[in-house]
Amino acid sequence: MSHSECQPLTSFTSDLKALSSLKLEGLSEAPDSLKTRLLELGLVKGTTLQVSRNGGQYVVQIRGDRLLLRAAEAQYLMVSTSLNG
Amino acid sequence: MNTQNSIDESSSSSITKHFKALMVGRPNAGKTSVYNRLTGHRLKTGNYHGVTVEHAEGIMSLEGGKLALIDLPGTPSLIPHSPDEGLTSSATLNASLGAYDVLVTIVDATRLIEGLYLSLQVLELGWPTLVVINQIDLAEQAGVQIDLKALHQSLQSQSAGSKESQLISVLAVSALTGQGIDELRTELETLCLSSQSKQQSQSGEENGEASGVYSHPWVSRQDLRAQVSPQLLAEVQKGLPAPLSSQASHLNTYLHWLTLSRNENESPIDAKLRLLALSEPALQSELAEQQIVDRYTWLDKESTKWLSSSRSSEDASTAKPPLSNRIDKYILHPFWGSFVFIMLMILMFQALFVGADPFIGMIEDGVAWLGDVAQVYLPESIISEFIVEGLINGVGNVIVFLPQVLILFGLIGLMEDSGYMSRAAALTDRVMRSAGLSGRAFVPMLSGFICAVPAILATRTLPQRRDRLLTMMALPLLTCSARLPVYTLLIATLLPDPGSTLGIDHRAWVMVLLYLFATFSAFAAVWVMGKTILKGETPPLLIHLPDYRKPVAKDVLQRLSTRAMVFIKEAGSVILAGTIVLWILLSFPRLDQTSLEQASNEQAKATATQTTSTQQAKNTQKTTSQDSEGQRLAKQRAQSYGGQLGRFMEPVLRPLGWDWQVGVGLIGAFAAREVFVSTLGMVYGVGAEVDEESVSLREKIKSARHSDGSPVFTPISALALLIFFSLACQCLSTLAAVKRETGGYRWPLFMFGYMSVLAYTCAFLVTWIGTVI
Repeated sequence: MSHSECQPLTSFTSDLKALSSLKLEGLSEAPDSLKTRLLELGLVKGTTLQVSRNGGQYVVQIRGDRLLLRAAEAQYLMVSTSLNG
Repeated sequence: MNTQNSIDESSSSSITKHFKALMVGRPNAGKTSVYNRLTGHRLKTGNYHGVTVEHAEGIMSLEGGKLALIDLPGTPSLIPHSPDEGLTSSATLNASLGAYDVLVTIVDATRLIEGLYLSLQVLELGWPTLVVINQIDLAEQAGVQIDLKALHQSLQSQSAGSKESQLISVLAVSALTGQGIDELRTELETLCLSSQSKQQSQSGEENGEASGVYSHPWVSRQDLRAQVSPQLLAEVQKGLPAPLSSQASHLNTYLHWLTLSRNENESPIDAKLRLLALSEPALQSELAEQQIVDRYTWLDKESTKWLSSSRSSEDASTAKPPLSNRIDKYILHPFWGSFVFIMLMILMFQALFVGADPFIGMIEDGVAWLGDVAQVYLPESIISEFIVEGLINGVGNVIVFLPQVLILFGLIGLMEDSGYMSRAAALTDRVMRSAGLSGRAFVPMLSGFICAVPAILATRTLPQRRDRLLTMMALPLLTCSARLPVYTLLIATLLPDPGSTLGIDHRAWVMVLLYLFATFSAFAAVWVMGKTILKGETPPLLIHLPDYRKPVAKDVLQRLSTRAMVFIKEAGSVILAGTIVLWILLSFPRLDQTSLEQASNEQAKATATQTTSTQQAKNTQKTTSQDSEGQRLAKQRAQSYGGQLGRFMEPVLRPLGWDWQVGVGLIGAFAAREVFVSTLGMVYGVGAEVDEESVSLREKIKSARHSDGSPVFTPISALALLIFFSLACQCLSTLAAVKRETGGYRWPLFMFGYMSVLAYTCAFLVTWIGTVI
């Protein structure tokens, strides 16, 4: 399965273990306050993310910080695998 | 790094000066630990977002004066998303108008970029700022090297284009080991002196005019190219208090932030200013997102100058110790994580009830002893009665909660400091969201099992007002420890001779069922209100996962004393006042001497009639005087305002099988739920010094009769009373806390109303179904 194109993080449902590094391509149309907070937590375009999945939750490691999101929030993170091919 | 400006010689004279500094930082940056190091006031530190829900102020002695240091709740940004973040944002914005001499930002060295993001926002306010890089020892251990001089130059370059040079300092410390704390102390004093000296000179130059408009170059690059009109500035200046209005040069930056940082608890002045600011096209926040991206872009680019090449922003993620990640594979796992969580909760409740029991007994014995001593040494009068029954009992009603409150907060403190609390919130989110809340409501809910008051205060960490209200409205349904004495008494009435199932006493099963019923009721209430009066989306879940760490015993113990004080202040004052009001209600109007004697005679006569043999007469002689006193008390309560109120309520209580005496007990329970037991003791003539285990009270309850001779306490009416107590909002302290947190009477009245209706309806249904069956 190829995900080199930009897709919501939640589309990497089955193979996140293999996809430890992802590149954040942007945030899709999230509610304003959520989008602002995601950006302020460092989720800006071009950032490298280390992602793992626990049930319906996602742990996103960014610049050494780790954030836990539900799938409902993670769907706004548009990512690609361009970093590790 | 030292400040750019040298200190004015005249400023460092021997005259004692008073300074004020404000401390801000991201959650888990070690802000409160730095505060504790500086002030010696080891307030509270935590490893979970939202531990500091109120600001704290400590005094720090300097060589040339004293510094009041304010510690604020952690926030990742000045754009607030919850009331606690709003507190920080408002205070920081006000600081930039001259309310403080220096702003101190605490940055976690192991998460430098994110921490400096907040520092950049603070620097944009243009006020003297000290950037403290904390946990430098941990960063060095992880191989991270920070060039402080280069970092200082980078930050200083951000303000280089402004009309005035900004006072900026950068220091590295370790609050854990004390490394760099002395230098921090010295630098803080230096910066305060420079700040005051600068303000004085500016004040002379500006003389209150709004002409010297200051704009941080970072902000001006974005959306403040068009300056705020002089008319608006003049109008705004008029609305500000005098000390702030003199800082007119920072007003447009302040107004810019006001438009971005709206929070529900802002001051009336800020609310007014916001309206004014929003009318100014130049202050619209359309470019806020671009500003965020620009800050991070700048930080990523500049970080190559001050972060060692091995730990550039690109590679910073590898600095995290992998242990936390490995532990989280199990702790956050849906099955194993839930298993660990349930085990921990079982241990916690075991500690709460078994561990606290001896201490509660000691407190109750101590209060009873104090009452006895007071009765012996004080002359019999209304004053002594007030001291014993009102004051001493009132204080006892407060401190009897402390063992459980302390154990609960101690355990919560351990979970916070270790980093587990964030994981618990993540795990419970799976359940919470089914009711319409996020996992962040877990901490208030957990506290609610001991006392609703600290739980209500803990809702300040919830981002959205709707979620705070939903949580607050449901919290009093959870089984707080004040209900337990009532449950124990009523269960004993319900099941006088219980058997056992699976080796467990049926009374214990009933108690477990009541806990489950309460938890179910709370979630059901959240779900229903979330679909009706508090409609809205389930709040988003963004939980920061700090690294696991070993809790510091001193910090956890110190936190107990702080939280105990908050509990005594918030709940204790209401409980004490409620107990005193209850005593007045039940003690006035006073019975005259004739009535008192008549009551005693009636009791003696009744005893003599029931006594059929000499031996019985001897046995009962000893208790006759006690019974007479009890009868006197019962008569007094019956004639009192409280008794009259109970009789007034009787027609409403009768369909549930209760009499006016139960009504008086319900009134008494408003002071504190467990007071129901001692109030019943008084109105049934057993005396106030009874508890839920008291055999005489249980016997009296069993033998209580309505005027038609039918028993008051049947298994059905006792069950109805249990259900009523489980659902009713019989707690003044809770209502007072909700009033304070919501800023009005609307929500506490709603809470009291819906819970009362729910409690009465369910109790009525139990009675009706029980009667039919």
